[in-house]
Amino acid sequence: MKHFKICALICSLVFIVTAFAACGNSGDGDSSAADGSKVLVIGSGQSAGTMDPVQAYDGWYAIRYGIGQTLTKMNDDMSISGWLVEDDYSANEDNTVWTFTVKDGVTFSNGTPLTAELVKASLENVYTNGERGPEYFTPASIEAEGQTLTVTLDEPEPILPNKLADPLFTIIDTTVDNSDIAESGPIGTGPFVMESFDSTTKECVVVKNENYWGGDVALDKIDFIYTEDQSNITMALQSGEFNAVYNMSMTDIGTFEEDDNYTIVSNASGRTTIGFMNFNGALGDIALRQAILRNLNKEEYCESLLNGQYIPGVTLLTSAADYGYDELTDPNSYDPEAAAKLLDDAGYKDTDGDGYRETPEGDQIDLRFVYYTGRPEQQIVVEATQTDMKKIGIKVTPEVHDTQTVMDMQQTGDYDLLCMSINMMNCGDPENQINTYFCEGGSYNATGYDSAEFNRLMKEVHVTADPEQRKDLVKQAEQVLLEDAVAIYYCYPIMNFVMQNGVENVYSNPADFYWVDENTDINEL
Amino acid sequence: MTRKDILRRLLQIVIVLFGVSFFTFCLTYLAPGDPVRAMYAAEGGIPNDEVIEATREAMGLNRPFLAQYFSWLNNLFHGDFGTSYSLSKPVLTVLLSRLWPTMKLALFSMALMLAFSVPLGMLTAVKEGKAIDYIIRGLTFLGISLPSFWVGLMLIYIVALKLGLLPVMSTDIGFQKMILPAVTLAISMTAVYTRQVRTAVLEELSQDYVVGARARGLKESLILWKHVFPNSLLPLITLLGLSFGSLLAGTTVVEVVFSYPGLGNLAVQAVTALDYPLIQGYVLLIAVIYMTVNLLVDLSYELIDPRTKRRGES
Repeated sequence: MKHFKICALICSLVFIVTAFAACGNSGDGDSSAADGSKVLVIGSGQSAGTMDPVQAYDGWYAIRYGIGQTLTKMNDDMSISGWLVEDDYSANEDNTVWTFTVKDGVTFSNGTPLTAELVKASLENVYTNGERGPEYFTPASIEAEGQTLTVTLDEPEPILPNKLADPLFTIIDTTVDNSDIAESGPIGTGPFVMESFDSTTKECVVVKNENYWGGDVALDKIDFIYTEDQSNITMALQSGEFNAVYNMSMTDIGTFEEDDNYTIVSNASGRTTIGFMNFNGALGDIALRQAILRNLNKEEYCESLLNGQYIPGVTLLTSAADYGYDELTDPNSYDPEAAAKLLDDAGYKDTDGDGYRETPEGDQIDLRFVYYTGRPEQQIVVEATQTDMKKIGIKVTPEVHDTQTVMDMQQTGDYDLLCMSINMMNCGDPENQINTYFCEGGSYNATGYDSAEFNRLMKEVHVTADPEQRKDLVKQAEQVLLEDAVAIYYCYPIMNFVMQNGVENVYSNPADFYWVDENTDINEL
Repeated sequence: MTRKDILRRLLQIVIVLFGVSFFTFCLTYLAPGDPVRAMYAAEGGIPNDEVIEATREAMGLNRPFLAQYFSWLNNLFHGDFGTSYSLSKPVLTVLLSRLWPTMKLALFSMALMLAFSVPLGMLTAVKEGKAIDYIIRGLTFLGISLPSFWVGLMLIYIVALKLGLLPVMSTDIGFQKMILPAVTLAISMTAVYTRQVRTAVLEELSQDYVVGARARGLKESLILWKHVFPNSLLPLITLLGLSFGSLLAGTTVVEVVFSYPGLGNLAVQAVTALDYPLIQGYVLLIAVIYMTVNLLVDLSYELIDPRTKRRGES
């Protein structure tokens, strides 16, 4: 027995000593690392697929992580001002020739001074290595002389400075070897330099840019950790592993509002949570689309299910922007009885008695509703839709994928319904985003929607310089979308950053991609 | 096991792997969606239909099913598992980068399990019918019954959140971050193994040689550790082999709960991303590991208990 007891004791001791030797939870979330450096850990349910700014929407992360900057910048009031260029940019009378002055003293993180020639090379890189550039504008030529950059276009581009604020046009050093840019990241002009990016875990670590042109950078390092698990995000902030969290879910934010140890910054965003309807299938029938729209109680979703943290959607463009939220008429507002009648009249009947209607031709309907969990509202509105649709005999099957896959599926049209949160005002003007998602040929418009009237209006928007006129045309285009029952506008999120007290200058703003800057800091309280 | 037996087992492995590869290829072939569009979408843009058709032709996707399968198999023999749609990287590279974290987690959890289950199992056997036996067996019932995701969440809540001893997120494979996932895995395994050890030891304790040893006046501890324990090992070794193979494929839930960057988490990502080459590679890799471990376990029998060799020869 003696040996047995000794063995049991040794085994237990080994485990206890091992476990406790490892305890203490140092590392992540500590504002000061062992060497005294200042480290900030930010948790988010959003991440890039690659770190190449010209691929898909990956440029957002070069800006969000403080690695890159654009020529112009969108302000909190959605106006535009110079960032890497002076504010003196100007155009000729018909907005076909734009002239910019690149700021003196700007350097890339590798110390290379920024010149108009390097800006030109970076802009050209968007068109040679990316797909999305032409959706914004297609330059006839780009000329560089000293610090003066001249962009010439074949057709008027009245809001070119707005478009250049999009992260797609992040200015990077193209003179270095960028063959591994997807993993190693770009050399930008921002206050931070990428240290590592793991494309499988999506964790990105950035460190202070010692050559930053805008002055001293307060932090030594920021660790951006990605997880789509909302409960893990919440607990990691509570345990101190994360110092700040982007877009805390509506079910958890109340916990932090009542706790004096946390600070919340929030703002009405330019985002709209949209349910795209694919016309290449059962939803090609406007009667079915109208019935779906009339059967969704968006006010109830926002009030009860989303804890009042979202504003019920009416128009494509958010209530936070002056684009017709209070003016336009929704012909398919909530009316469940009318929805059922529409289906009856159109010949959608449950002929086999399974509780779900078939098409007038007798085919089964099972609408695949694709969504991702990186935005907390999506699962809630998708499941609420499924429940409400069942009441009128329409079968909806939710299908969850990761964010990147849902974006890919949106491009390929591999869905019936697809939920996506889109910042429609990311350049301070909605033209590009509307073109991308709703116009014929838009890179994310695989719905099959192609309205001559809508396309005409958006073409007119494209060449109109007067802001009020542009606004009026966009409103008309929005009304066409409403009449055609093109998509479900679920809600407009109120974005937030929740952070421990002591974290300073982490930003939540309508652009949604200026998270950190040189003043971002963390101090022990 | 004779050389002939080993060859027979290796042949069985090859046949099973052939079957696994065929079924995983069928999975990809029959799966909804267009791999060419998925590949381009992951790269950032969908080109026009002509480019898509040309790519499809170049990738051999217009060829008959069997031609595609044998081409894929040929690539496999050359170490080419294909390219992950979602990560745009060679599948084998991605899988191997995640294999070590999962192996570390599996080994650590097995070490924890053995550290507890062997002493506890022997204790319950020696104290059969006493209070401690009932208490430990009751706890093992609890350990077996609790689902691992629930245990994981509770451990996160209590150990990480309330006590602040360990991290919530296990986003890298540092030792600290491995403890909670490993403990979660070890709890249910410890419950199972404690009962197995107890049963094996009880069976040995009832053997004639134990009665004889006691009659000769040998110390009880000597009988237990020198004679009973080694004889109880054989069924445990079989179980350990199976458990290790299962763990490599079965850490998925725990890896997801803790955001641990292992093979299981990768498999879930691959499924949500409809990344069929990665799913295929994962299934094949797990099948290879599982069968190799089992072969090694069978081979180890003869080292641990030479009687099995003699039985085999006779």
